[in-house]
Amino acid sequence: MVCKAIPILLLVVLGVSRAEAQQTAVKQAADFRTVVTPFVQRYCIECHGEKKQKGKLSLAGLTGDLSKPRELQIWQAAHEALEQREMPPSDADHQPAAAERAQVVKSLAAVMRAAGVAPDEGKWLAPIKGNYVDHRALFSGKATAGAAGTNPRLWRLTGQAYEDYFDKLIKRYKLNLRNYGEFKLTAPWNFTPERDFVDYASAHRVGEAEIEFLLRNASTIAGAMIKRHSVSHGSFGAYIKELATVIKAGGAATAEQADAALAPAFEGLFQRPPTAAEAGRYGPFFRDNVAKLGGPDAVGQLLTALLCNTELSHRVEIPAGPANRLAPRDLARTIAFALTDDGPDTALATAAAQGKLATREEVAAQVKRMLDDATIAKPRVLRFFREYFAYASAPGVFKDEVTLFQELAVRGARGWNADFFVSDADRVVLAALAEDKEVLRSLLTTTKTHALTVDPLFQIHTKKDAYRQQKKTFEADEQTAMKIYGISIPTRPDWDPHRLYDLPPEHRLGLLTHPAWLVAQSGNFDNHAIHRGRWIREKLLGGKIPEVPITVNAMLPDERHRTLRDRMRVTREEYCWTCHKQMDPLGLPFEQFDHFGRFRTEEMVVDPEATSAKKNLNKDGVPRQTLRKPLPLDTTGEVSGSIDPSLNGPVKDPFELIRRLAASEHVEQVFVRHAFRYFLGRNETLADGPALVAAHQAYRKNSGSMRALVTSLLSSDPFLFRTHPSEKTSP
Amino acid sequence: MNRNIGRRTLLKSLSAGAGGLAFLPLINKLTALEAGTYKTPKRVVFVMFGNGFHEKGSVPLELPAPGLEGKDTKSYPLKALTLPFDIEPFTPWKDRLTIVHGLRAGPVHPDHGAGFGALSAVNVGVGDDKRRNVVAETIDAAIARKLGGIFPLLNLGIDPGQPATKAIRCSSAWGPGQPLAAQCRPELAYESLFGGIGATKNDFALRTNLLDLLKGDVKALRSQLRGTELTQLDYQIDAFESLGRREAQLAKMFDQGLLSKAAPKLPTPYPVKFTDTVTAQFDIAASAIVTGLTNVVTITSELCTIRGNYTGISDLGTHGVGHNETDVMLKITGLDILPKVRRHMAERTAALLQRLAEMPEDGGTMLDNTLIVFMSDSANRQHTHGENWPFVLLGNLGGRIKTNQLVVYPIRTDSPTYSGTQNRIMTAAAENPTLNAFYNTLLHAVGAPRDHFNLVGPDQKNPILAGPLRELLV
Repeated sequence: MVCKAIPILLLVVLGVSRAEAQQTAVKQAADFRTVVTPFVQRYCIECHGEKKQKGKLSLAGLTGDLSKPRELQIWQAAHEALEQREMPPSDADHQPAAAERAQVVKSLAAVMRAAGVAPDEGKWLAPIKGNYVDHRALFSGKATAGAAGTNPRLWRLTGQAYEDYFDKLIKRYKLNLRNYGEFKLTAPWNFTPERDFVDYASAHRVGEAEIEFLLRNASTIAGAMIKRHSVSHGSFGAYIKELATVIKAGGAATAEQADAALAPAFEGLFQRPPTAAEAGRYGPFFRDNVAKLGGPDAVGQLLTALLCNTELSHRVEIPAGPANRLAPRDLARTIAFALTDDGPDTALATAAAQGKLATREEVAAQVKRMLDDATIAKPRVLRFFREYFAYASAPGVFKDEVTLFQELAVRGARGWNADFFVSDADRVVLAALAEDKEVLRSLLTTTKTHALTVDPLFQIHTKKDAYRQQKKTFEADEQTAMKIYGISIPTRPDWDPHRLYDLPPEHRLGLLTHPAWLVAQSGNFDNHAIHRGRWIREKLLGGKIPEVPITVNAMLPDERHRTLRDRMRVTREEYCWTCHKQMDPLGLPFEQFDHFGRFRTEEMVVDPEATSAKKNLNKDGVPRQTLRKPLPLDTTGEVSGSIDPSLNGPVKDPFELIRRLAASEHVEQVFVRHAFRYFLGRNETLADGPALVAAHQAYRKNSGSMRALVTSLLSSDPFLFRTHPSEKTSP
Repeated sequence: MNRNIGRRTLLKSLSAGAGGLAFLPLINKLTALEAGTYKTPKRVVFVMFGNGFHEKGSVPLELPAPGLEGKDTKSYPLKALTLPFDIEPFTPWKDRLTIVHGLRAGPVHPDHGAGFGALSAVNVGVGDDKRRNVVAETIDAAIARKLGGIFPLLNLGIDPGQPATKAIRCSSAWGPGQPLAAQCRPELAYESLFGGIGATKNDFALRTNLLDLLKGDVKALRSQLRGTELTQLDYQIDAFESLGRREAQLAKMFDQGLLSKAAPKLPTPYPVKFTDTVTAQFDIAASAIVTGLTNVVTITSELCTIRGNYTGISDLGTHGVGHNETDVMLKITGLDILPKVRRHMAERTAALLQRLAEMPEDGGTMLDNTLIVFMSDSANRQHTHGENWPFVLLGNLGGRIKTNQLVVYPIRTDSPTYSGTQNRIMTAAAENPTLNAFYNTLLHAVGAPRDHFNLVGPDQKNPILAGPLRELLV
């Protein structure tokens, strides 16, 4: 095979000289000949050649000329399949060595770039791509080359942590500022809905929009601070008198006054003095502005700059000390923000200041202290489960009035409120965390739930409220929720927001049968067996599902008279089944429930004959309502392709599937991998294997304790050290 | 037009009031004239809304759907036809109007809003993935690359009934993984473009210094990062630099008093209702265009998905509206609410047209060199299969677009109706052009023709899909 035409023109357009373009093209052509062609001959051509064209694909006769649309399409797909280790298939006779695969992937990427098609490398940073790291190798217990540390990085704080800082500042200085509703100083992090983990260190970039909003928030606070310091101290709130001096001096403010105010400004905002480098940058900036703009504007500029400081929006994780360790203060912040939305508490800050975060044991002790202390709110732990199980999006799955009436027999949107399910699921998680025994297994197999717990405190503030609440009957949406759960609470006084109610044991088994998860993994009118299956494949089995190819029209036929399983026959066509066989058989057992999360024994489908029968038509000949009929339910499915062979095999219903998954050590390890990603903010690499093994062992040795798991992760080398992969760790 | 006009003559011709707003374009023009490179600038505005653009709301009353079906592409002069309620405000502009029916969604899934697919015409997945997957350049960005500007692409969003939303990435992207954020709050967009309301000091100049300092802070970390983390940091440094350049340009304009003169008046308190927010965002867009701050604007209501409420028209959720649910307070159903929503968008668009028509430019008006693309992000209805994606074009972009016509590509009209009403859905023939051909037509019109726009594989060689659509070009 010969690469005939790497487009030289494109490189010229990109500002590369013609000679350089020619050299590059020649090199890529050579690469294609010496790397890609032999690879294809060795591993691909047997199934995708002249004799055999699996998936109707032949690589025979391809030249590597990506200016031809057909070749471009094929090599793009090949690049992805090779990079994602989907090809050659696991049952192929010959498998390339890792280095060989890496080389061909690199060569193809170069050829694609030269053709003007840049592979989106950023997508590999997304959490779910972590599954592409070899599971067996990770848990083999064998040390690998490379450092078990995280790269030095900036990890943005959670939106809540950023916003909380401003809330506290406003309170501390008694700033006269509206900070709610549309005036709220919000973190500029949520411009795009995130899949999987929201606050992932490696997947975010700060662009123009983010900077503009950070600046705006900072200047709003700075303006309020200037006002606050323009008047006398009074008896309320904190006050930085040196700043007040500069402000009140107006145009007569001096450089000396500016110098005297710099350190107090740092103390006032960060509770620390400026470093020498900071003093070197901010000092002249402040002095110049005092001279040019006068006191108030100069202070405004200084405060705006400080409030945009990376420290307020990010964890700065750059090693400052020997052996690639974080400075104690940075480590304390890293620990605090791993568990909470707040900076270090007094004990942690003191430990950092006294040098008592120097060893793994000291760090573990602090983490354990925080986890064991019920008075310390640890929202990031609950958020891990929310984001891992992905049930919090249930209220966003809209159910229209017609569907609610026809399928659930409730009138209007007031009869449906999925917030209940999310809140109840949160409390189920919190209960499991409080128990801290076999946390994953208990969440996968519990037959209990809290019920109707949407913000009970919102309704009950006083004894009078509680009395009124007791007199009320259950609202329509509360009755619907009970009906869906299959529980009955006779009267409101019988309801206890802190109680775990028993669900019908033959109907429910864990969070995957909880309405929160079932609704979140549904569409507006139907179950979403593909989403459900995908969640299980990725989050419990650690499997890899490729992106939907852009040429695929991902729609099921609109045949409402057939069961979902029947309509999903289109996914069983050869081209689709390669991927869908990994999802559909795992999701279809959950046909045991409808898209409201209700247990069922038959599937209702549209009855076209009855709907169009004369007696159902109005005077315009339009059906009055869509009539339905029951069809038998098929809840069978199958686990296949798991690297734990004991998991593979058919299942008769979701309960058998869940029991099998919940008993699996492999599933537990995949759960640990996800916890690692969440708390470390990045995907695991083979070098992280020992930390993962240790975390899993800690979890196991402590009878499935989440606290032990988190403590192990937060005192592991990858958490404590900041080193580049090419470096050796020196713990 | 006298191409040898001098600086003094031009400055003399500048008058106070509305004409003065075009000061910056005139300065740019002056420079270009002196350099001999002057071309009348072109401008393109995309106006997008959710819940679909129903056929009933976009086909003239005299042409009921069954009469439009056929296997050939047809063109009807609009002059003698009556525009439906939804787009009736365009009646005075009929001579600059083009309505297009029969384009297909192709690989895009516009059901519930097409997300980044609406303006990129590529498959970005389904569900929420449509707002996450940024896999290609969008047409507004492609045009902005050609037309340039201090704000090459001004992206204004409206999150209906949700005034707390400040920005969101939903519609536009420079390329794979490079989305732009839509500014959803008029007062914040105002601040970015014109400075603080009533500001007497040059905040842009102050911010330029500030950005330099902050960039320095971030840059100081650079030597300690590598790999992915370094790439992330460099992205941030680039953003600082690009913002700094922009702020420096705005600082000069502020000093010349151009921004305050051009800035629109925002209502006090700031708009909260959907209707008021739409009005404010259109006012901002108009001012930005006539001041020469931008040549390409995308106004996206509902942010390429379904969310919120059309407050000011109905408090029923936009999703329920699309499902023809009943607003029990107003006692009207969703499909009677949607025309009011679209009409409001059309009224504001007509006001924008009027504003541009009042701005003299090269012997004509700014409107002569402008094109507005009025469209839904979800084709013809909320739960659409993309069977027909209607467009309304306003303006001829310097004589490049053929106007005063309804173009209907081969279409069927035997499809079902909306939600049990008599309103008919039209279905484009399977061989019809897709959005890709339409967008490439726009690129041809602005002078940046391509072989195709975001087609994949063999489709790139299919002239029907590649475009341009000759029926729309002069």
